[in-house]
Amino acid sequence: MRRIRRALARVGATLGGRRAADDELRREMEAHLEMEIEANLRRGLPPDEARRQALIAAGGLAQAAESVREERGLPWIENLVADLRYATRHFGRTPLATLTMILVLSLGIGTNVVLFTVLSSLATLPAPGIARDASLVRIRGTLGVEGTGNLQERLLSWPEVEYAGRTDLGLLLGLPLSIVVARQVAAALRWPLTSSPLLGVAIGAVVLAVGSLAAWLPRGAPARSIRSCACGRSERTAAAGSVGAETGGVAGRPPPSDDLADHWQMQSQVQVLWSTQTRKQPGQLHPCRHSKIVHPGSDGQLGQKVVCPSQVTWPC
Amino acid sequence: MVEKRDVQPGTLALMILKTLEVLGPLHGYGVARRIEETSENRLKLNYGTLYPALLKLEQEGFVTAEWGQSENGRRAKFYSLTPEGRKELAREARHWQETADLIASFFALGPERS
Repeated sequence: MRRIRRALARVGATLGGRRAADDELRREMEAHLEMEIEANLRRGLPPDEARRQALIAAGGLAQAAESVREERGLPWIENLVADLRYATRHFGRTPLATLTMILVLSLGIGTNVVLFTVLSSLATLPAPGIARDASLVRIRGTLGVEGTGNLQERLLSWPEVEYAGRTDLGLLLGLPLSIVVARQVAAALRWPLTSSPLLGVAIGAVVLAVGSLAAWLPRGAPARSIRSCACGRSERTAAAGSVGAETGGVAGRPPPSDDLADHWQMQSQVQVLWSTQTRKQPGQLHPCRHSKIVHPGSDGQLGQKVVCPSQVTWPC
Repeated sequence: MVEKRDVQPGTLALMILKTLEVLGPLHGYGVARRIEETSENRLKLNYGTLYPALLKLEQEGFVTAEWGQSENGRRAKFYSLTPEGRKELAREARHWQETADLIASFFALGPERS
């Protein structure tokens, strides 16, 4: 109860302004001081000494007033308001600098908003040409690499890149990768700024954003419509997702030898989450296996042959 | 010369309330003087201690303040106890008494003989 009363009183004091309250406090303290001086005079002290003693006993009037102020209102709000007032006054005095600041800030914020809006809509919405309806399936894959070699040494096939670009994997891989790229670029250009890791991240983010845009924008509708999972089924089977597309370009360098290519033979289990309209349980596993990476193709590119066991039934 | 002590936090409110109960409406100077006298000048009470405490009591509704004439014709702000303040004083006095009794009973312990 007392706390509530006190809080209300403090809010009231803050709203009421401090000038009147300060004035009253000053008068109260002055009266106190005068009484003290009078008492000292009555004790027989000379006027100067009486005043000096009274001031010593008071112990710093300005400090006392400040202590009272801290108890009276809500100092942090009052300070905030005072700061705001000061800022406003200052801005008013330097309009040109203020205008510049506002322009720069709004440009920066606006650019960010636009970029992230575009990126977000590109990364989360299906590409143009693919309707957002029940025929759309979502393919989640786990790409297991058989044999030796770490992830970095493994070349990603174009479908994988495409696939990764559209999923969390893309973000997961993309950011560190683009930071690395950004650092390389920066080092090549001999930018001194790259010593800061934060800046590296920032540059990486920008490169990622630009790269994502570049990766998404030129792609037209036909390129995105993926044919079946090499099962000879109709278009409907895999409207989104591209694991198992028959051929594609290859990102990175070609594998040096056949042996290594065998190591890269990979299995990917594709989890197909069917939409409710197909009346299938979600989480069905579709053991679509990349049998082998065939290389080089007739056009000098690597291709993938995808084999699906015949007993797998797609709801075509 | 007796060493003057600063007031322990939390105790000053109680002293002020008790002083106002005994003496009736009183200005800041009167309160300070009375507390110093009662403590036989062992306590020193500067403005920075006294006035925040008075303000806090006022905000909590235990005292009210209004301007009036002092005994020698000076305008001063007089503080007086509210019914709430009286209750708070009784409550706090009991609390302090219990604490003091408790501590005293511990200090009264002698060496144990078995």
